[in-house]
Amino acid sequence: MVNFAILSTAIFLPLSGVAAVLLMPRDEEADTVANLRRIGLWVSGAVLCLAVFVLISFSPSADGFQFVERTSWLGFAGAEYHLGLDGISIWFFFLTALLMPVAMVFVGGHIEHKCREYVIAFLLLETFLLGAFAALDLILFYVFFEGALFPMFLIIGIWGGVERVRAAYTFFLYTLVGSILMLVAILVIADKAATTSVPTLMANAEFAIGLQKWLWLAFFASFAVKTPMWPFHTWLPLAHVEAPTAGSVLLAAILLKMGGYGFLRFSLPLFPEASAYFAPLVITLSVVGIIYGSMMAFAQQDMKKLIAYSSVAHMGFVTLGIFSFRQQGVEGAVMQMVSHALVSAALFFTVGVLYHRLSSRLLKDGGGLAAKMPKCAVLTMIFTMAAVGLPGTSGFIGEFLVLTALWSVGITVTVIATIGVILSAVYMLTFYKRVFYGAEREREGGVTDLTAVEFLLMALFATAILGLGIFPNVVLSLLPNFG
Amino acid sequence: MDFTQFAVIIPQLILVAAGLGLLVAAGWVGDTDSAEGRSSPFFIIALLTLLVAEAAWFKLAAATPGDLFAEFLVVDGVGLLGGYAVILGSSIFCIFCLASPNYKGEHAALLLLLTAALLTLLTSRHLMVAYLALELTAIILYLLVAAIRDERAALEAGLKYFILGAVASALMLYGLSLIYGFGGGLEFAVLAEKNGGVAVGLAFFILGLAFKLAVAPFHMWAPDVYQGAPTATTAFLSSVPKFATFLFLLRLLGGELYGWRDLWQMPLVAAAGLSMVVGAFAALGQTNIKRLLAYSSVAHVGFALVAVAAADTRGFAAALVYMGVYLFMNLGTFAVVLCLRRQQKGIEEIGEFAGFAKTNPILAANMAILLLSMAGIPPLAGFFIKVTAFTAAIEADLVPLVILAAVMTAVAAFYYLRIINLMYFKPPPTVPLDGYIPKSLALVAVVTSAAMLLFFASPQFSYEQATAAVATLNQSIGK
Repeated sequence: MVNFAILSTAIFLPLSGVAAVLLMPRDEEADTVANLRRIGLWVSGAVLCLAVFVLISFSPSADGFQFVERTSWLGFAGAEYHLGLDGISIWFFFLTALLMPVAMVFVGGHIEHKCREYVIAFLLLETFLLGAFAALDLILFYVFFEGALFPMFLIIGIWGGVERVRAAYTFFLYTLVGSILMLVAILVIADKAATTSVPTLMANAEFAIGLQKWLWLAFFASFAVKTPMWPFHTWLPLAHVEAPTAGSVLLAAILLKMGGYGFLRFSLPLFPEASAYFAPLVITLSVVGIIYGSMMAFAQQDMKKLIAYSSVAHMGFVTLGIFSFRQQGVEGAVMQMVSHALVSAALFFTVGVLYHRLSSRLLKDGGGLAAKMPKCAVLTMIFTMAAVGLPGTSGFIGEFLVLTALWSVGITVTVIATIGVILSAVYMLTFYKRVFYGAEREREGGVTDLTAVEFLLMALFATAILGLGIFPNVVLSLLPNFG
Repeated sequence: MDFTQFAVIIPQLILVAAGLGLLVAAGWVGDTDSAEGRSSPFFIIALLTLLVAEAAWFKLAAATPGDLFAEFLVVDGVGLLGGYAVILGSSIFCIFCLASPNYKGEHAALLLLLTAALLTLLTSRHLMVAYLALELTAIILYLLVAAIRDERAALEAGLKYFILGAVASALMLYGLSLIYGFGGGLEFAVLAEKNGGVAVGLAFFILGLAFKLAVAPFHMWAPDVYQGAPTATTAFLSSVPKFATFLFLLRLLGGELYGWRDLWQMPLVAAAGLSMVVGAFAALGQTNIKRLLAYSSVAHVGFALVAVAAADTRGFAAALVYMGVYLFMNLGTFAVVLCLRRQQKGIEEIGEFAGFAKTNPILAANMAILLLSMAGIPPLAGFFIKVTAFTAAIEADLVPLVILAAVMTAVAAFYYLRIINLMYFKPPPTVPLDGYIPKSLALVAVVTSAAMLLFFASPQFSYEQATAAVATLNQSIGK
C-alpha cells in the first residue's frame, strides 16, 4: 500500500520539470533542444511511472476513494486540499500521464522553435489535468479545471496553424464563460451545504429541487462546452484544426473527457433529481450531436476537422450513456471515454505523421499511401475500425454497452444512435479510402513510412485499443457500482 | 502631559519631518531635475525614510490599540495592516520615480507627506482628521499628476482632477457640517447613533469618498486623469491612495456605521454592480494601456465592493484582502508598463506590446501572470480574492450580484487576454523598443508576479489576518 502522498507528488512533479527548463539556456541549438526533449520525456515518464504504480495499487473491491490526501487550505471559503481517486477518475488520471510523453516526443522533430516554452506549457498542462481528475474538493477542482485553460491557450496560439489566434481566443473565452457560472454554483453549494468536499456532498447532498435545477444548469453550462455537446461545440473544430498535433492529442483525449467526467462525478451524484429532470434534454442534444457530428465529419475536406467532428459524435454516446441512469450505460460511457481517448489520440497522431510528410491536412492530398506507408496503413486501419466501433476494438464495448442501456430508456433514441454508428463507418471509411487507397501519386520528395519512434507509439496505441477490446474488464472491473 | 501617546504617531512624524526637510533641501539645491540625476538622492532618502517608517509602524503593533489625542486617532487592526501596505506601496512608487525621467526632488518630499497623510487617514477616528488627511492627499496628488510641467496632457489631467476633486471635497465638507450640526460632533462615535440629519450628511460625505475611489458613476475623471498623468503617478494613484481610502471606508462601514447597514447595503450593491459593468465594458474598446488600467481599477473596486456589500465580518475581511492583493497586482502591472520605452520616452499604446514575449520573455511572462491574476484565472491570487469575495456575498444572499460579477469577470478577461495575445502571438513592431530595462522595475515586476503565483500555497493566512483585523473594528467601539 502506498503511504506517501503519491497523488500530490504526481501532480506537482511536472513543475519540477518546469523549473529545470527555466534553468536551461535560451538558445535553439540542437543540443539544447535535445536536452529539453530529454527533460520533457524524463519528467513525464516519471509521472507515468507514478501513475502506473497508482493503477497497480488500486484495489477494485474497496469502496470510496483511495490515495486520499486531505489538509485544510482555504478555510475562508470552506475549501480543502482534498485529493483521491476512484474507479472512474483513476483511468483519466492514468491516461493523462500516459499521453503526455507522446506530446514530448514531438520536441525537436515536429516542433523546432520555442521548444522551451513548449515543454513548459505541456508540463503545466499536465499538472492541471492530473489535479482536476484527482481533486475531491469543488473549489480545488475548479482551480485545476480552469487552470488548464491558459497552457492550452498558449499551445494553440503559439504552435498552431494559420488561424491559431482566433482558435485560441475562442477556446479560452468560450470555456471560461461556461465555467464561470459553474463557479457561482460551487459557491452557492458551499454556502448551502457548508462544505465543498465531494465525498461528503455525494453522500449527504439534499438540495431543494428548484435550487438543484439551477445548480445543474450552471454545471451543465461548463461541462456541455467542454464535452462538447451540440450546440456548444463550435469551438472544437477550430481549436483542433489549429492546434499543433500534440495539442490536438491532449485536447481530444483528455480535455474533452473532463466534461464527461464532470457530469459523472458532479452533476449526477450531487443533483440526482435535477439530472433526472433534464435527462430528456441531454439525451436529445446527445443524439443530435451524434447525427450532426457524423454528417459534418463526412462533409469535411480537412482530416483534423473530420476527426474533430467525429469527437463530437463519439462524446454524444458518452453523455447518452451517463444520462441513461443505468449501470451498463455509465460503464459504457466510461469505457467509451477511455476508448475515445486512445482512439482519437491515435488518429490525431496519425494525422500529425501524415502532415509531417504531406505538408497538408486535406483529404485530396492523400491517396495511394497504403503502398508507400504500409505500416502506417495497417495501424491506421485498426484506429479507424476502433472509431467505427468494430467488435474486437475498444470502441465497440463502449458503444454496445451504451446502446444496450439506452434500449430500456427508449427505442427511438437507440435506433437513432445506432444509425450514428453506421454514419461513423461512413465517414471513417471514406477518410481511410481517400487517404490510403486509390491510385499512387507522385509526390515531391516521396513519402517515407513510419520512423521507429512513430511506429512504436502507434503500435502501443493499437495494442491498447485491441487489448481493451478483447479484455474490457481491465477497465470495467475497477468501476464502482452506480446506485 | 503624557507623551507616551505620541508614540503611536511616530511613523507619521518621521515622514513629515523628513518630507519637510527634503522640501527645504530641494529649495536650497535649486534645480533638482531628474534629467541630470539630481533628484535621485532625494528619492533614495525618501526610500530610506519609508523603510524607517515601516519599522516604526511595525513597532506600533506592539502598542495597544486605544484612542489617542482625545479620540482623534486610533490604531485598529485594519488600519495597522493598511499602514504596512501603504508604506510599501509608497516605497515602490519611489522606485518607479527613480526609473522615470519626470520627477524632481520636491516630489520625493511630497510623497513622504502624502504617505503620512494616508497613515493618518488609516488611523483616524475623527471625521475632521480624516477630511484633512484626504485633502492633503488630494492636493499632493494633484501636484504629482501635473508633475511634467511642460506637457499639456499632464497639466490638463491635473487641472481636471483638481477641479473635480475640489467639488468632491466641497461635498464632503458640506456633509461634515451637517453631521456636526445634527450630531453634535465629528468623532466617529457620533455616527453610531442613527439620526436623519447625520444620515444626509453622511450621504454627502460618502459621495465625496466615492468620487475619490472612482466608483461608478463617479468614475468619469479616472480614465482621463490616469492617461494624462505620468505613468509612475498613475501607478501610484490607482493603487495606494485608492487602497487607503477604501480601507478608511471599510473602517467606517465595519465600525460605527455597521448599525446603519440597512441604509447603505443596497446603494453599495448598486455601486458595485455599476462599477463592474462599466469597468468591464468600457475597457473593451481602449487602445491606451493607462485608460484600460483605469477602467480595470474601477472594475476591481466594484468587485471589492461586492464583498463589502455582504455587510458581515467575512465580507469585510474578503474586501480587505482583495484590495491588498489588488494593490500589488496593479503596481506590478505598471512596473512592466513603465519598462516599455522607445528612445527614452514611455509609450502607452497597447499595440506596442506586440511581440513583447520575443524581446523580453521574462518581463512578458510576469506581465502575463499579473494580467491573468487581474482577470481572476486560477491558480493565481486574483482568482482566490474573487472567490472569497463571491463567497462572502453569496452567504449574504446577494446571488444575483455574484452572477453579474461572474459574467463581468468573463467579459473583462477578454481585454486582459488581448494584451497577452499581443505579447505572445504578434510580431514585434518594426521600430524596436529600448532594450534597457531598469533592474528595479524588473525586480518589482518579478516579486509581485511571484507573489501572485505563490498565493495559492497558503491562502488562508491572509484571510486569518484580515478576519482578525476586521474583528477589531467592532471591538474598538465596544460592540
